[in-house]
Amino acid sequence: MRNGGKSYTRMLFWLLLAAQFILSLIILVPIFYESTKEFTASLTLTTEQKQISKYGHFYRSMKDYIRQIPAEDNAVIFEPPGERAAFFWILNYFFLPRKIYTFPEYFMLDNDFTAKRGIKFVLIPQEKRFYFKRHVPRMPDIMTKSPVNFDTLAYPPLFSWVAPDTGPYSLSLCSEYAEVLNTYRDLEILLTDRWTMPQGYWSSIPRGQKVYWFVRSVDQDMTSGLMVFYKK
Amino acid sequence: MILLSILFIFNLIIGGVFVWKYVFKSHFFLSQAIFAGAYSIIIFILMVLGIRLNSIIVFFPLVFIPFILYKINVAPWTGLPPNKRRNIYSCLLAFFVLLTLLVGAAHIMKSPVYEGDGLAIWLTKAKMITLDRTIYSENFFDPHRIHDHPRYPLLLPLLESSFFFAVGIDERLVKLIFVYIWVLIIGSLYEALRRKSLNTALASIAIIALIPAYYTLADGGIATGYADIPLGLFYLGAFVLLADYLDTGNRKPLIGAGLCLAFSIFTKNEGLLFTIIMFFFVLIKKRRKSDILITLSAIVLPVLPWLILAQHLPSLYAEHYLSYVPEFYLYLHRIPLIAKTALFEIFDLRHWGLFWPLSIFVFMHRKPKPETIHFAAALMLLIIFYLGIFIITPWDVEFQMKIVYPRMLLHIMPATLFLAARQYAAGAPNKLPAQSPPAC
Repeated sequence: MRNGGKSYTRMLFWLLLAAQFILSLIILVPIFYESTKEFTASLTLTTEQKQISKYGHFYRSMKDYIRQIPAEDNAVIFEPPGERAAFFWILNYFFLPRKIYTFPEYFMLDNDFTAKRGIKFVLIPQEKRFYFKRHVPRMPDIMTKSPVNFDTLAYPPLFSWVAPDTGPYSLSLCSEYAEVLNTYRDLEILLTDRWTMPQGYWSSIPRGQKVYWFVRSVDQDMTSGLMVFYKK
Repeated sequence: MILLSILFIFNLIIGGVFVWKYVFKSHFFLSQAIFAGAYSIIIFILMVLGIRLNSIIVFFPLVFIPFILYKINVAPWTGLPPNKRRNIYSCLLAFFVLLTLLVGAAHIMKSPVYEGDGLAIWLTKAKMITLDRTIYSENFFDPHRIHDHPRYPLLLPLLESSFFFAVGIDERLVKLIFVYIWVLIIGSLYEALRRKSLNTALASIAIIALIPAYYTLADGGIATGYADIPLGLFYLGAFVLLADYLDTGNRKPLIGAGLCLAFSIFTKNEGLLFTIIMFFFVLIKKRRKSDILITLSAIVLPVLPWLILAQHLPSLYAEHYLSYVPEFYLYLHRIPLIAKTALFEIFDLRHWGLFWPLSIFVFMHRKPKPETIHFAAALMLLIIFYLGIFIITPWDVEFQMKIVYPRMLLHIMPATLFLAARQYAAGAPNKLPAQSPPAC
C-alpha cells in the first residue's frame, strides 16, 4: 500500500481512515461535551426480588450516602451494621433530558433477609436531599406442587406450583449452602406456573445431591415453602 | 485523597520503571503493564502466606526508588520521544492524541464506577478484600455469602483494593487505575510501532484513542470499571513481546509474553483460552525447544497459587459452561443468529466507526508475512471460541451477545490494531534507527 500500491486503493484507504476519524469525532464530541455538564441524580433503594435471595454484596460507601440523608417524616435511616438485609440500590443519572442511565448497585448489610423481606424503600430526590419511604407490599401464598418433598429423581424435573396471582415468577434452586440457580437472575422471568429444568443444569448437579427449590412471585416480594428433592 | 491517589499511581509507575531499567529496557510501557500484573500477584501471594494487607504494604514498590536512581544515568524519558522523523504532521497528531487522552480521562473520571458488573463483581471483590484485609474471609469462602461469580480472577480487584488501602474507598478516584491502564495500552502501541514508522504509530494511537466503544460501551467501557480493559492490555502485551521475540530471538520478550499471558489468566477467565491458543502459537513458532519450557514456566508459575485456590472457592452451577458442551449439537441452530449478530456488531459504526473494515482492508491489500498470518489466525481462533460460548450458553443468545460480544472485541482490538499497523508499516522505506537525537 505504501510502495507501489495502486492509486485508487490508496485513495480508498485514506478515505476509510478519514471516515474513521470523522465518525469517531461525530460520536464522541457530543458525549464528551455532555460529560462536562453537572448531572442530577435520583436514587432508588428497594428489596427487589432478585436481591432477597442469599445473594448480596457489600457496599460500604452506601453508608456515606445514607448518612447524608436527612431524617424527616417517613424517612428511614439505616445505621449499619446494626441491621442486616440485602437491598437493591438504583442510581439514575440524568446527563441529558431524554437520556436516563440506570445503574444498579448492590450492597448487603445483613444475613437475615427474612426480617426485612417484603419491605420496600424508595429514595426520592428532593433538590439535593434524598430520603426514602417505606412500603409493605401484598404477600400472596404460592403452593409448590411438584416435585414433591423428598422426591428422588432420575431425570430433569418439571417444577409446578399454584399461585393466586398470574406471575411472573422466579424459581430458585439451592444446595445445602447456597442458591445455585435463580431463573430470574440467571435465565429468564417465568410467565407460567411450570418450568422444566434444562438438561445442562441437570447434568451439572452431582449424583445424590440434595436440592432445595422454591418459587417467588417476582413483583410481589414473597416466597413459597421450601421443597427438597434428590438426584438419583 | 487526590494526592494519595497520585502517590499510588506513582507507586505503580516506580515499579514499572524498575522493571524497565532492569529487565525490559526497550519496552517502557509494557514494563509498566508487567509490573502492574506482578504487583497484583505479589499482593495475592502475600495474602496466601497469611499476611494481612495494610496501607504500608501496598506502597512496597517505593523501595525500588534507590535502585532506579542508581541505575538511571540519563533522564527516564530519553528514547521515548521519536527521533529525527518528527515533522509537523507528527507533532499535530501527537497533540491531537494528547488532547483526546485528556478529554477522555476527564470523561472517564466524571462519574463513579456505576455499571452492574463493575460494582457487583469487581468492585465488590475489591471492597471485600479491603474490609477483610485478606481473601481468607467468610465473604469469599462462606457459601451463604456467595457473591456474583465467586471464582472470577482477582487481578483487577487486587489493584482496586490496593488503591483503597492507599486512598480509602472511593468509587470515583479508583477509576484512575483505568485511566492508567488506558494510557499503558496507547503507550505500548506507540512504543511497539514507532520503530517501524512514526506516523503510523501516531495515527494508530489516534485511532484507538478515538474508538467510541471504549468510552460509550455500557458493559465494558473504560468508565465502567470492568476487567476487559486490563485484559486488552495483556493481550496486546503478549502480541508485542512475541513479535519482538520472533524479530530478535531473545528470550526476555518471550518471558515477558509468558507473564502477560499469566496475567491475562489472572484478569479474566477468557485469558485462559487466549493463553492456550498463544501457547500453541509458541509451539509452532519457537526458535529453540527450550523456549517452550521457558514460556510454560512464565505462564504457570505466577498463577499457580490462584489456580489452586480458585478450586476451593464456592461456585455457581450457572457458571459451569463446560457442562453444556456435550449437548452442543442441540443448539447448532443458533449459528446463523450468532454469525449475524457478530457481523452486525463488527459493522456497528456507533461502537467502532470503520475500524474493523479498515483493518480487514489493510490485511487484504497486500500479502501478510507468515508471522502476521499466524498472529491473525490466533485472534480468529480466539473469536471462534468466544462465539462458540454462545452456542452452549444457557442464557438468551441474542441478549447475551449484545452485552458480551462487544466486550470481547474490546479485548482483541488493541492487538488487532497492532497487527494491522505492523502490516501497514511493513516494507516502509523510512525505518528509524534505534536511537537518534531528538529533532524538535
